[in-house]
Amino acid sequence: MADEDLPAVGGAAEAVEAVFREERGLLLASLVRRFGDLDLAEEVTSEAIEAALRHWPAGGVPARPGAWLLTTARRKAVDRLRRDQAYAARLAVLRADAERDEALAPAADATGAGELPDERLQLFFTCTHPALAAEDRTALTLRCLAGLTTPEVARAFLVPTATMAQRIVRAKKKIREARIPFRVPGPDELPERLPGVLQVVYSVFTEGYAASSGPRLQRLDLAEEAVRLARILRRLLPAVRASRRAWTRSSSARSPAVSRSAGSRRRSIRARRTASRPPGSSGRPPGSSRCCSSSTPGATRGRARRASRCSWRGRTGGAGTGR
Amino acid sequence: MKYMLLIHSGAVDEQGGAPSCTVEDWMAYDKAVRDAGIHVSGESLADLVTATTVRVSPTGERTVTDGPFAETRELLGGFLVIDVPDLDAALDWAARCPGSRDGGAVVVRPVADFGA
Repeated sequence: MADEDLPAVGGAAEAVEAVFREERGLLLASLVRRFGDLDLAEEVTSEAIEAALRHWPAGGVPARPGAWLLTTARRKAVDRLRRDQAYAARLAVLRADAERDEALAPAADATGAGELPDERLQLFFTCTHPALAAEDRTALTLRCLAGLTTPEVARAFLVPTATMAQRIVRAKKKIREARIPFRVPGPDELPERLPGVLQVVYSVFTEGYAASSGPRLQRLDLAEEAVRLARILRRLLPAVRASRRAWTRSSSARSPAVSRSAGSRRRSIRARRTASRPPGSSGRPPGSSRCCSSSTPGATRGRARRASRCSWRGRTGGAGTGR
Repeated sequence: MKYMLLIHSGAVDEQGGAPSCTVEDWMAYDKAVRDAGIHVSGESLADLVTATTVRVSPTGERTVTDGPFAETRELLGGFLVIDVPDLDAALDWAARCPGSRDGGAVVVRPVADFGA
Protein backbone atom coordinates (compact mmCIF):
# COMPACT_ATOMS: atom_id res chain seq x y z
CA MET A 1 0.00 0.00 0.00
CA ALA A 2 1.82 3.08 -1.16
CA ASP A 3 0.98 6.07 0.98
CA GLU A 4 2.30 8.56 -1.54
CA ASP A 5 -0.31 7.52 -4.08
CA LEU A 6 -3.04 8.96 -1.95
CA PRO A 7 -4.68 12.27 -2.65
CA ALA A 8 -4.04 14.90 -0.03
CA VAL A 9 -7.16 14.81 2.10
CA GLY A 10 -6.07 17.64 4.36
CA GLY A 11 -8.36 18.76 7.16
CA ALA A 12 -11.22 16.51 6.11
CA ALA A 13 -9.11 13.43 6.74
CA GLU A 14 -10.30 12.91 10.28
CA ALA A 15 -13.94 13.30 9.39
CA VAL A 16 -13.57 10.95 6.47
CA GLU A 17 -11.74 8.43 8.62
CA ALA A 18 -14.40 8.45 11.30
CA VAL A 19 -17.21 8.09 8.79
CA PHE A 20 -15.46 5.54 6.66
CA ARG A 21 -14.50 3.20 9.48
CA GLU A 22 -17.99 3.16 10.85
CA GLU A 23 -19.95 3.34 7.63
CA ARG A 24 -18.11 0.86 5.46
CA GLY A 25 -19.46 -2.22 7.20
CA LEU A 26 -22.92 -0.69 7.49
CA LEU A 27 -22.96 0.21 3.85
CA LEU A 28 -21.66 -3.15 2.74
CA ALA A 29 -24.18 -5.04 4.83
CA SER A 30 -26.98 -2.92 3.51
CA LEU A 31 -25.93 -3.49 -0.10
CA VAL A 32 -25.38 -7.22 0.33
CA ARG A 33 -28.91 -7.53 1.61
CA ARG A 34 -30.18 -5.66 -1.42
CA PHE A 35 -28.19 -7.52 -4.07
CA GLY A 36 -27.45 -10.81 -2.40
CA ASP A 37 -24.05 -10.43 -4.00
CA LEU A 38 -21.10 -9.69 -1.78
CA ASP A 39 -18.81 -9.04 -4.72
CA LEU A 40 -20.97 -6.40 -6.30
CA ALA A 41 -21.66 -4.84 -2.91
CA GLU A 42 -17.95 -4.61 -2.17
CA GLU A 43 -17.14 -3.09 -5.51
CA VAL A 44 -19.71 -0.34 -5.29
CA THR A 45 -18.90 0.30 -1.63
CA SER A 46 -15.29 0.87 -2.58
CA GLU A 47 -16.31 3.06 -5.48
CA ALA A 48 -18.59 5.14 -3.27
CA ILE A 49 -15.84 5.60 -0.70
CA GLU A 50 -13.41 6.51 -3.44
CA ALA A 51 -15.87 9.13 -4.64
CA ALA A 52 -16.20 10.42 -1.07
CA LEU A 53 -12.44 10.73 -0.74
CA ARG A 54 -12.41 12.73 -3.94
CA HIS A 55 -15.35 15.02 -3.22
CA TRP A 56 -15.45 15.52 0.53
CA PRO A 57 -12.07 17.20 1.05
CA ALA A 58 -13.10 19.85 -1.50
CA GLY A 59 -16.83 20.14 -0.95
CA GLY A 60 -17.00 19.23 2.73
CA VAL A 61 -18.52 16.20 4.43
CA PRO A 62 -22.27 16.02 3.72
CA ALA A 63 -24.75 16.30 6.55
CA ARG A 64 -25.71 12.64 6.23
CA PRO A 65 -22.51 10.93 5.08
CA GLY A 66 -23.96 7.44 5.34
CA ALA A 67 -26.91 8.31 3.15
CA TRP A 68 -24.60 10.04 0.68
CA LEU A 69 -22.48 6.89 0.46
CA LEU A 70 -25.51 4.62 0.11
CA THR A 71 -27.00 6.74 -2.66
CA THR A 72 -23.70 6.89 -4.50
CA ALA A 73 -23.12 3.16 -4.12
CA ARG A 74 -26.63 2.39 -5.31
CA ARG A 75 -26.21 4.57 -8.39
CA LYS A 76 -22.97 2.83 -9.21
CA ALA A 77 -24.64 -0.53 -8.74
CA VAL A 78 -27.46 0.44 -11.09
CA ASP A 79 -24.87 1.48 -13.69
CA ARG A 80 -23.14 -1.85 -13.38
CA LEU A 81 -26.30 -3.89 -13.47
CA ARG A 82 -27.55 -2.05 -16.53
CA ARG A 83 -24.48 -3.22 -18.38
CA ASP A 84 -25.26 -6.80 -17.50
CA GLN A 85 -28.59 -8.12 -18.69
CA ALA A 86 -28.25 -11.22 -16.55
CA TYR A 87 -28.78 -8.98 -13.56
CA ALA A 88 -32.02 -7.53 -14.82
CA ALA A 89 -34.01 -9.15 -12.04
CA ARG A 90 -31.77 -7.65 -9.40
CA LEU A 91 -32.09 -4.27 -11.01
CA ALA A 92 -35.84 -4.42 -10.63
CA VAL A 93 -35.42 -5.23 -6.94
CA LEU A 94 -33.05 -2.32 -6.60
CA ARG A 95 -35.48 0.11 -8.21
CA ALA A 96 -38.33 -0.98 -5.98
CA ASP A 97 -35.99 -0.63 -3.05
CA ALA A 98 -34.92 2.87 -3.99
CA GLU A 99 -38.53 3.95 -4.36
CA ARG A 100 -39.43 2.54 -0.99
CA ASP A 101 -36.44 4.20 0.65
CA GLU A 102 -37.35 7.53 -0.86
CA ALA A 103 -40.87 7.17 0.45
CA LEU A 104 -39.50 6.42 3.90
CA ALA A 105 -36.81 9.05 3.89
CA PRO A 106 -38.87 11.99 5.22
CA ALA A 107 -40.01 9.88 8.16
CA ALA A 108 -36.44 8.97 9.02
CA ASP A 109 -35.46 12.62 8.89
CA ALA A 110 -38.28 13.61 11.19
CA THR A 111 -37.41 11.04 13.82
CA GLY A 112 -33.70 11.68 13.52
CA ALA A 113 -33.22 7.95 13.30
CA GLY A 114 -29.94 6.42 12.19
CA GLU A 115 -29.11 6.92 8.57
CA LEU A 116 -28.73 3.30 7.60
CA PRO A 117 -30.42 0.35 9.14
CA ASP A 118 -27.66 -1.65 10.78
CA GLU A 119 -27.54 -4.95 8.92
CA ARG A 120 -24.03 -5.87 9.88
CA LEU A 121 -25.16 -8.68 12.15
CA GLN A 122 -26.49 -10.55 9.12
CA LEU A 123 -23.17 -9.98 7.40
CA PHE A 124 -21.33 -11.34 10.45
CA PHE A 125 -23.29 -14.57 10.24
CA THR A 126 -22.74 -14.85 6.49
CA CYS A 127 -18.99 -14.27 6.77
CA THR A 128 -18.64 -16.79 9.59
CA HIS A 129 -20.94 -19.44 8.13
CA PRO A 130 -19.77 -22.97 9.00
CA ALA A 131 -19.99 -23.93 5.31
CA LEU A 132 -16.91 -21.73 4.76
CA ALA A 133 -13.39 -22.88 5.63
CA ALA A 134 -12.26 -21.61 9.03
CA GLU A 135 -9.48 -19.37 7.72
CA ASP A 136 -11.79 -17.99 5.03
CA ARG A 137 -14.26 -16.94 7.72
CA THR A 138 -11.63 -14.87 9.51
CA ALA A 139 -10.36 -13.39 6.26
CA LEU A 140 -13.83 -12.43 5.07
CA THR A 141 -14.73 -10.91 8.42
CA LEU A 142 -11.60 -8.77 8.39
CA ARG A 143 -12.28 -7.82 4.79
CA CYS A 144 -15.98 -7.08 5.03
CA LEU A 145 -16.59 -6.02 8.62
CA ALA A 146 -13.29 -4.66 9.83
CA GLY A 147 -12.79 -2.91 6.49
CA LEU A 148 -9.27 -4.18 5.89
CA THR A 149 -8.02 -4.27 2.32
CA THR A 150 -6.97 -7.57 0.80
CA PRO A 151 -3.24 -6.72 1.19
CA GLU A 152 -3.89 -5.93 4.86
CA VAL A 153 -5.73 -9.20 5.37
CA ALA A 154 -2.87 -10.99 3.61
CA ARG A 155 -0.42 -9.34 5.99
CA ALA A 156 -2.54 -10.41 8.93
CA PHE A 157 -2.25 -14.02 7.78
CA LEU A 158 1.34 -13.55 6.56
CA VAL A 159 0.53 -14.92 3.13
CA PRO A 160 1.12 -13.30 -0.27
CA THR A 161 -1.59 -10.88 -1.36
CA ALA A 162 -2.37 -12.99 -4.44
CA THR A 163 -2.99 -16.04 -2.26
CA MET A 164 -5.32 -14.10 0.00
CA ALA A 165 -7.12 -12.51 -2.95
CA GLN A 166 -7.76 -15.98 -4.37
CA ARG A 167 -9.00 -17.26 -1.04
CA ILE A 168 -11.40 -14.35 -0.64
CA VAL A 169 -12.67 -14.70 -4.19
CA ARG A 170 -13.29 -18.41 -3.61
CA ALA A 171 -15.15 -17.76 -0.37
CA LYS A 172 -17.31 -15.09 -1.99
CA LYS A 173 -18.06 -17.43 -4.89
CA LYS A 174 -19.23 -20.04 -2.45
CA ILE A 175 -21.47 -17.54 -0.65
CA ARG A 176 -23.00 -16.50 -3.95
CA GLU A 177 -23.31 -19.83 -5.73
CA ALA A 178 -24.22 -22.08 -2.83
CA ARG A 179 -26.49 -19.29 -1.67
CA ILE A 180 -25.31 -18.95 1.89
CA PRO A 181 -28.10 -16.83 3.32
CA PHE A 182 -27.74 -13.33 4.62
CA ARG A 183 -29.70 -13.62 7.84
CA VAL A 184 -29.45 -13.82 11.59
CA PRO A 185 -30.12 -17.38 12.75
CA GLY A 186 -33.28 -17.93 14.75
CA PRO A 187 -33.13 -18.29 18.54
CA ASP A 188 -32.98 -22.09 18.22
CA GLU A 189 -29.92 -21.98 15.95
CA LEU A 190 -28.17 -19.13 17.70
CA PRO A 191 -26.43 -21.22 20.37
CA GLU A 192 -24.93 -23.28 17.56
CA ARG A 193 -23.90 -20.39 15.35
CA LEU A 194 -22.86 -17.62 17.74
CA PRO A 195 -19.69 -19.35 19.00
CA GLY A 196 -18.50 -19.45 15.38
CA VAL A 197 -18.85 -15.69 15.09
CA LEU A 198 -17.14 -15.05 18.40
CA GLN A 199 -14.38 -17.50 17.53
CA VAL A 200 -13.50 -15.45 14.48
CA VAL A 201 -13.34 -12.25 16.50
CA TYR A 202 -11.31 -13.98 19.17
CA SER A 203 -8.83 -15.45 16.73
CA VAL A 204 -8.23 -11.98 15.28
CA PHE A 205 -7.68 -10.69 18.81
CA THR A 206 -5.34 -13.53 19.76
CA GLU A 207 -3.27 -12.99 16.65
CA GLY A 208 -2.95 -9.31 17.58
CA TYR A 209 -2.16 -10.03 21.19
CA ALA A 210 0.52 -12.64 20.65
CA ALA A 211 1.33 -13.01 16.97
CA SER A 212 1.94 -16.59 15.89
CA SER A 213 4.59 -15.46 13.42
CA GLY A 214 6.28 -12.37 12.09
CA PRO A 215 8.84 -10.08 13.67
CA ARG A 216 6.55 -8.48 16.24
CA LEU A 217 5.14 -10.15 19.32
CA GLN A 218 2.14 -7.88 19.40
CA ARG A 219 0.19 -6.59 16.46
CA LEU A 220 -1.91 -3.90 17.99
CA ASP A 221 -3.59 -3.08 14.71
CA LEU A 222 -5.17 -6.55 14.68
CA ALA A 223 -6.02 -6.47 18.36
CA GLU A 224 -7.74 -3.15 17.75
CA GLU A 225 -9.72 -4.56 14.85
CA ALA A 226 -10.91 -7.39 17.07
CA VAL A 227 -11.95 -4.89 19.70
CA ARG A 228 -13.83 -2.93 17.10
CA LEU A 229 -15.57 -6.03 15.76
CA ALA A 230 -16.46 -7.11 19.28
CA ARG A 231 -17.83 -3.65 19.98
CA ILE A 232 -20.04 -3.79 16.88
CA LEU A 233 -21.23 -7.28 17.79
CA ARG A 234 -21.91 -6.25 21.34
CA ARG A 235 -24.09 -3.42 20.17
CA LEU A 236 -25.95 -5.65 17.75
CA LEU A 237 -26.48 -8.58 20.05
CA PRO A 238 -28.15 -7.40 23.23
CA ALA A 239 -28.89 -11.00 24.17
CA VAL A 240 -25.27 -11.90 24.69
CA ARG A 241 -24.41 -8.84 26.71
CA ALA A 242 -25.28 -10.40 30.01
CA SER A 243 -22.93 -13.33 29.56
CA ARG A 244 -20.16 -11.04 28.32
CA ARG A 245 -20.59 -8.79 31.32
CA ALA A 246 -19.69 -11.57 33.71
CA TRP A 247 -16.41 -12.18 31.96
CA THR A 248 -15.71 -8.49 31.68
CA ARG A 249 -16.01 -8.04 35.42
CA SER A 250 -13.71 -10.93 36.13
CA SER A 251 -10.94 -9.78 33.83
CA SER A 252 -11.15 -6.04 33.47
CA ALA A 253 -8.38 -5.35 35.94
CA ARG A 254 -5.90 -7.69 34.38
CA SER A 255 -4.14 -6.18 31.42
CA PRO A 256 -4.35 -2.43 30.99
CA ALA A 257 -1.57 -2.03 28.42
CA VAL A 258 -3.55 -2.75 25.28
CA SER A 259 -6.56 -0.85 26.47
CA ARG A 260 -4.53 2.25 27.15
CA SER A 261 -2.83 1.87 23.84
CA ALA A 262 -5.94 2.70 21.90
CA GLY A 263 -5.91 6.20 23.30
CA SER A 264 -8.43 8.30 25.06
CA ARG A 265 -11.21 7.88 22.53
CA ARG A 266 -11.62 4.31 23.72
CA ARG A 267 -11.55 4.58 27.45
CA SER A 268 -13.83 1.67 27.95
CA ILE A 269 -11.95 -0.54 25.55
CA ARG A 270 -11.00 -2.91 28.33
CA ALA A 271 -14.55 -3.89 28.87
CA ARG A 272 -15.30 -4.18 25.19
CA ARG A 273 -12.19 -6.13 24.43
CA THR A 274 -13.40 -8.91 26.62
CA ALA A 275 -16.48 -9.38 24.52
CA SER A 276 -14.30 -11.08 21.95
CA ARG A 277 -13.89 -14.18 24.05
CA PRO A 278 -15.94 -17.17 23.03
CA PRO A 279 -18.71 -18.16 25.40
CA GLY A 280 -17.81 -20.39 28.23
CA SER A 281 -14.12 -19.56 28.10
CA SER A 282 -12.46 -18.12 31.09
CA GLY A 283 -9.15 -16.90 32.32
CA ARG A 284 -6.50 -14.71 30.91
CA PRO A 285 -6.15 -14.16 27.19
CA PRO A 286 -3.05 -15.72 25.68
CA GLY A 287 -0.10 -13.40 25.78
CA SER A 288 -1.62 -11.02 28.27
CA SER A 289 1.16 -11.47 30.78
CA ARG A 290 3.75 -10.66 28.16
CA CYS A 291 1.67 -7.72 27.15
CA CYS A 292 1.75 -6.25 30.64
CA SER A 293 5.37 -6.86 31.42
CA SER A 294 7.14 -6.30 28.14
CA SER A 295 6.46 -2.63 27.73
CA THR A 296 5.69 0.45 29.71
CA PRO A 297 2.25 1.90 29.09
CA GLY A 298 3.76 5.02 27.58
CA ALA A 299 5.76 3.13 25.01
CA THR A 300 2.78 1.03 24.06
CA ARG A 301 0.65 4.10 23.62
CA GLY A 302 3.12 5.64 21.20
CA ARG A 303 3.32 2.52 19.11
CA ALA A 304 -0.40 2.17 18.98
CA ARG A 305 -0.88 5.70 17.71
CA ARG A 306 1.53 5.02 14.92
CA ALA A 307 -0.14 1.71 14.22
CA SER A 308 -3.59 3.18 13.98
CA ARG A 309 -2.42 5.99 11.74
CA CYS A 310 -0.71 3.55 9.44
CA SER A 311 -3.63 1.22 9.23
CA TRP A 312 -5.95 4.10 8.37
CA ARG A 313 -3.66 5.22 5.57
CA GLY A 314 -3.62 1.74 4.24
CA ARG A 315 -7.37 1.61 4.27
CA THR A 316 -7.84 4.92 2.58
CA GLY A 317 -5.54 3.90 -0.19
CA GLY A 318 -7.19 0.55 -0.57
CA ALA A 319 -10.68 1.92 -0.71
CA GLY A 320 -10.63 2.37 -4.41
CA THR A 321 -8.25 -0.34 -5.45
CA GLY A 322 -8.28 -3.09 -2.86
CA ARG A 323 -10.49 -6.04 -3.61
CA MET B 1 -32.47 -22.89 -5.64
CA LYS B 2 -31.88 -26.58 -6.25
CA TYR B 3 -29.48 -28.58 -4.17
CA MET B 4 -28.44 -32.18 -4.66
CA LEU B 5 -27.93 -34.17 -1.52
CA LEU B 6 -25.40 -36.92 -2.21
CA ILE B 7 -26.06 -39.56 0.38
CA HIS B 8 -22.94 -41.49 1.32
CA SER B 9 -23.51 -44.45 3.52
CA GLY B 10 -21.18 -45.10 6.42
CA ALA B 11 -20.82 -48.47 8.08
CA VAL B 12 -22.82 -51.10 6.24
CA ASP B 13 -24.15 -54.38 7.61
CA GLU B 14 -24.37 -57.69 5.73
CA GLN B 15 -27.57 -56.68 4.02
CA GLY B 16 -25.95 -53.53 2.70
CA GLY B 17 -27.97 -51.19 4.89
CA ALA B 18 -26.84 -48.84 7.61
CA PRO B 19 -27.17 -50.61 10.96
CA SER B 20 -29.50 -48.31 12.84
CA CYS B 21 -31.38 -46.67 9.98
CA THR B 22 -34.53 -48.56 9.35
CA VAL B 23 -36.59 -48.60 6.20
CA GLU B 24 -39.20 -46.74 8.24
CA ASP B 25 -36.72 -43.93 8.89
CA TRP B 26 -36.16 -43.53 5.19
CA MET B 27 -39.85 -43.67 4.41
CA ALA B 28 -40.58 -41.04 7.03
CA TYR B 29 -37.85 -38.80 5.63
CA ASP B 30 -39.05 -39.27 2.08
CA LYS B 31 -42.59 -38.40 3.15
CA ALA B 32 -41.38 -35.29 5.01
CA VAL B 33 -39.50 -34.09 1.93
CA ARG B 34 -42.53 -34.63 -0.30
CA ASP B 35 -44.93 -33.06 2.18
CA ALA B 36 -42.72 -29.98 2.42
CA GLY B 37 -43.13 -29.53 -1.33
CA ILE B 38 -39.39 -29.33 -1.93
CA HIS B 39 -38.88 -32.70 -3.64
CA VAL B 40 -37.51 -32.45 -7.17
CA SER B 41 -36.10 -35.91 -7.73
CA GLY B 42 -34.23 -38.62 -5.94
CA GLU B 43 -33.18 -42.20 -6.27
CA SER B 44 -31.63 -44.85 -4.19
CA LEU B 45 -28.80 -46.65 -5.98
CA ALA B 46 -28.48 -50.42 -6.30
CA ASP B 47 -25.55 -52.23 -4.72
CA LEU B 48 -22.12 -51.12 -5.85
CA VAL B 49 -21.25 -54.59 -7.24
CA THR B 50 -23.69 -53.78 -10.03
CA ALA B 51 -21.77 -50.66 -11.10
CA THR B 52 -20.25 -50.43 -14.57
CA THR B 53 -17.97 -47.68 -15.89
CA VAL B 54 -17.86 -46.45 -19.48
CA ARG B 55 -15.07 -44.36 -20.95
CA VAL B 56 -14.71 -43.19 -24.53
CA SER B 57 -11.20 -42.50 -25.81
CA PRO B 58 -10.36 -39.58 -28.12
CA THR B 59 -10.50 -42.04 -31.06
CA GLY B 60 -14.03 -43.01 -30.15
CA GLU B 61 -13.11 -46.37 -28.74
CA ARG B 62 -15.39 -47.47 -25.98
CA THR B 63 -14.02 -49.06 -22.81
CA VAL B 64 -16.39 -50.75 -20.44
CA THR B 65 -15.15 -51.89 -17.05
CA ASP B 66 -16.68 -53.48 -14.03
CA GLY B 67 -16.89 -51.26 -10.99
CA PRO B 68 -15.61 -48.97 -9.64
CA PHE B 69 -15.36 -50.56 -6.24
CA ALA B 70 -14.46 -47.86 -3.78
CA GLU B 71 -11.66 -48.53 -1.35
CA THR B 72 -13.38 -46.47 1.29
CA ARG B 73 -16.40 -47.51 3.23
CA GLU B 74 -18.27 -44.39 2.25
CA LEU B 75 -20.20 -45.12 -0.89
CA LEU B 76 -22.67 -43.04 -2.79
CA GLY B 77 -25.89 -44.78 -1.95
CA GLY B 78 -28.42 -42.41 -3.38
CA PHE B 79 -29.25 -38.85 -4.11
CA LEU B 80 -32.01 -36.39 -3.63
CA VAL B 81 -32.61 -33.09 -5.37
CA ILE B 82 -34.54 -30.54 -3.35
CA ASP B 83 -35.64 -27.02 -4.13
CA VAL B 84 -35.22 -24.74 -1.11
CA PRO B 85 -34.47 -21.02 -0.68
CA ASP B 86 -30.90 -21.17 0.58
CA LEU B 87 -28.01 -23.24 1.86
CA ASP B 88 -29.16 -23.17 5.47
CA ALA B 89 -32.45 -24.81 4.49
CA ALA B 90 -30.60 -27.41 2.41
CA LEU B 91 -28.27 -28.15 5.31
CA ASP B 92 -31.25 -28.62 7.61
CA TRP B 93 -32.74 -31.20 5.26
CA ALA B 94 -29.38 -32.91 4.93
CA ALA B 95 -29.14 -33.13 8.72
CA ARG B 96 -32.57 -34.74 8.89
CA CYS B 97 -31.61 -37.36 6.32
CA PRO B 98 -31.08 -40.81 7.90
CA GLY B 99 -28.02 -41.18 5.66
CA SER B 100 -26.18 -38.48 7.62
CA ARG B 101 -26.12 -40.63 10.77
CA ASP B 102 -24.00 -43.62 11.82
CA GLY B 103 -20.82 -42.51 10.16
CA GLY B 104 -22.62 -41.64 6.97
CA ALA B 105 -22.42 -38.26 5.35
CA VAL B 106 -24.58 -36.15 3.12
CA VAL B 107 -22.76 -33.85 0.73
CA VAL B 108 -24.79 -30.82 -0.29
CA ARG B 109 -24.08 -29.55 -3.78
CA PRO B 110 -25.88 -26.58 -5.32
CA VAL B 111 -27.21 -27.46 -8.76
CA ALA B 112 -25.59 -25.19 -11.35
CA ASP B 113 -27.96 -22.58 -12.67
CA PHE B 114 -27.25 -21.56 -16.23
CA GLY B 115 -29.93 -18.91 -16.16
CA ALA B 116 -32.40 -20.99 -18.17
